Amino acid sequence: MKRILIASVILIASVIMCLCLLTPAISAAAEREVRIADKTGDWGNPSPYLSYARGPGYVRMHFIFDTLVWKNETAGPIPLLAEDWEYSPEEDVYVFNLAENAKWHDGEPVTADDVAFTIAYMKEHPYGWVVLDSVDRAEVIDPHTVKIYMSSPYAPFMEDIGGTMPILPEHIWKNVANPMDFVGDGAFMGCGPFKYADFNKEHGTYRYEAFDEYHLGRPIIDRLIYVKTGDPQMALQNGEVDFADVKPDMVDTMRARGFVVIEGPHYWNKKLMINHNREPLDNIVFRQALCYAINQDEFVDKSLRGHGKPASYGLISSESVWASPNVPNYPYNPDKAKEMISTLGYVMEDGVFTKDGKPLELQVLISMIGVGGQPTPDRDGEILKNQLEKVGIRIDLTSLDTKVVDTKVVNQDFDLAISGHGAIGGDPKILYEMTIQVPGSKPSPNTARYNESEELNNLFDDLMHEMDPAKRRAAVYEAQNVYARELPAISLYYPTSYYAYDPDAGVEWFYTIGGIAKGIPIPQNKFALIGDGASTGVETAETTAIETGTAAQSTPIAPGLAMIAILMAFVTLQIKLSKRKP
Amino acid sequence: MHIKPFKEFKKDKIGVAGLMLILLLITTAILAPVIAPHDPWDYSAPAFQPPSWEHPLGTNDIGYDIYSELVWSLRTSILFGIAVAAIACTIGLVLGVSAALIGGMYDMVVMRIADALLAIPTIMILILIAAYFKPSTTVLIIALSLVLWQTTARGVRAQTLSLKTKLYVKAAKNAGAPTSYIMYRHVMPELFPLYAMGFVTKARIAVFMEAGLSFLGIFDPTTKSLGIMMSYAMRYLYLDVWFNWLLPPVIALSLLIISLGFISYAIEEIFDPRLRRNNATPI
Repeated sequence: MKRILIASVILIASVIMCLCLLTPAISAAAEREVRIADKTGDWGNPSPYLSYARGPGYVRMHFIFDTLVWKNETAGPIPLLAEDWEYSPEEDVYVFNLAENAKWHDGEPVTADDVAFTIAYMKEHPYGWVVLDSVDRAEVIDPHTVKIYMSSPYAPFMEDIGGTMPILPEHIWKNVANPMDFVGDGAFMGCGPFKYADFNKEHGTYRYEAFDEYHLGRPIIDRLIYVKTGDPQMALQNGEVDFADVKPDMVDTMRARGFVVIEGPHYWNKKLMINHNREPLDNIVFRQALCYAINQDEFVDKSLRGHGKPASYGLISSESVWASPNVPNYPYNPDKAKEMISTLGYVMEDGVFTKDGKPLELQVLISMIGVGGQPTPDRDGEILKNQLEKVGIRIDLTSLDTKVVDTKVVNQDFDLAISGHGAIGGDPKILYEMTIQVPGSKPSPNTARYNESEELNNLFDDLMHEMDPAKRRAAVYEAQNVYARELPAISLYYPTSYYAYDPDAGVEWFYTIGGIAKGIPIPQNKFALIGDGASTGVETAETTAIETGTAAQSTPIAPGLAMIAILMAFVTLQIKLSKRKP
Repeated sequence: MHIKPFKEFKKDKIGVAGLMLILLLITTAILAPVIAPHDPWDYSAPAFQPPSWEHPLGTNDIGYDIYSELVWSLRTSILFGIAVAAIACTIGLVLGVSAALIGGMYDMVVMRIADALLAIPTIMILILIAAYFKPSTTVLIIALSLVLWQTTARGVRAQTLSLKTKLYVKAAKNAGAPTSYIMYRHVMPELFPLYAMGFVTKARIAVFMEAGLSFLGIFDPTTKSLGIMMSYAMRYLYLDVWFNWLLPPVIALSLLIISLGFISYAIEEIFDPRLRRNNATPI
């Protein structure tokens, strides 16, 4: 009897032990799910035409739809749908060879017809992210080769069109007359690594399932979910999500709690917009004096508490591969600023410059604008006021909603406005877009609308159409130098943004070089979720790390089973022994 | 109403407490430049310093001394409250008395405007004005006064109408006293409880309104205000700075509103016959 008792105790104990050992292994093996927190939630339906025309909207869509080429942490363009490509300057054509095993989510193969169709379709129904004016037509050479004829040389083609234009399935979209209304069958079907599962506008949630037949290999996770939460940082700490943006002041705390914090590249700038129709802002000397009066380091120290970097006056990020090595600089020098302002006929009276009895007073519009359009509290207005009043310019600070500031800037109803935008680390055409009001396009609140400089206009022509890399680079450098001298707008600083993830979730997120697609500074690149297939032609150390991570997590099953077997044998033996001696 | 209001008030413990508190706060506000250890617009100190002898409540995100900011913000709130209350009461008094004395069409028009204003939510009007016109503090004080006078005007008019029929007023009139004399000698003193009450209530509303508007970020961001302090502190709650940054302005605002509330409670109790306690001393 005693033996039976001991045996049963051992049996129960062993079963409990095995269960404890097995549960994490079973759950890890069953579903690998990654959750990303977002403050806003709703970024539109995840299809090319219906996602909101902002970075997060494009990111929601890019998991489902693939482009011809792509970028990862260190390199771009790298193959995605296209395996290789070639540009022929004589003919001004691009030839793309497509991956032969690429499939749409419904099993149909991805062919050159789809690419040609997409170009024709997007020329007919303009798509916000891609301007196809420079593309003439696409010709299908064979099922997996497509030739794209340009109407004029377009230097940013690979990044701007090849790496941004999502390819649409012809067999679905050929019947769609109005893409803005299309939510029917197949509207969310692409050839990307994830299949659309669910989008809830009210809750701001997105759900994607892994696509098993993805041509670069099945994603390393089974499910990807976007969750709307008021406080992403808190959600991450509570384990509700695996990936979220964190506030700069919390970086050390998050690291101490075992999260991996990644630091974004400086591709977003806080910028002082200038109204060139008003005196004295229309004067280059005055704008240069403003630069001498502005202490960029103080902005970084005080407004960002050190989590940022002073900006280059040439607009292109100083971290970009396109940054000019000799952009004119304006080291902080209030005395020089005063001197320059007095050359314009202003006289200092009681610490304020006056001209014809009127004090020099400028209105500064401010709003809580931060990276990716997210509202961020800062003290830029107070600091700018303080700095400019030190040199004798009276400042009337007006704090408004970001949209109101944008409208006022577009309507030229302002003197100075503190605003900001990204994409300064991608293709240098941003310099053209943010300086010139492109004829026929809608005025953007980030564009300086500085069309009068002949020198800049000529340089921009080369910047947009010069296909010889060395010549284009020279034009890009020179354009930055002229920009910094003429100052259509004044870049103030680059804030550092941080994202943190839970390393236990098994995904190593990264910031894309130059930003996702056209330059979206969000570290949610789909390549972080694809296994070794994505490393074709690219070194991806992180994917191997993830592979071993998966193996390590699945191993407890084997020893667990072995242990159960040994214990069962032991118990049976015990029971048999006890029966033998009644 | 034959009451000795100050004697009555002294007996009212709540009223006395409110008065003491408000005097203390007003003294702090007046002495702000002396009491504050630092210039509240000076951001040279390092950010997020914990409380110390140098910075009694620490420093905030940009490096302002929180204690100095608090004292100066109190000044803004009290000035705003007093200014709005004074202007609104004056408008209410003038319009109320004149409506009662002149009567006729004028009375009709003034009272209908007052009725209309009663129906409109004040905060909405202010948010609209503030968001569209970005007015200076002075303009906002006047705007708020222009929408707060109606209650006083109505009370004053009703009281004046009843006073007009009083025998001693008629006697004075018959004795040849000019209207201005009657106003000054007989009407105004009798109206005292109404405008004293109105003043305190309006000051309370104005203080609260100012804090609310600046919390919403509608005010000039460079003024020092309890509301702005709170709104900034709320954005850094995750850093555990609530006890030295968020709590002080909340307590200061609460004390200010409570003290004004106590005073108006006491005044109402003294002058409203229905609320008077038995031990009141009628003459």
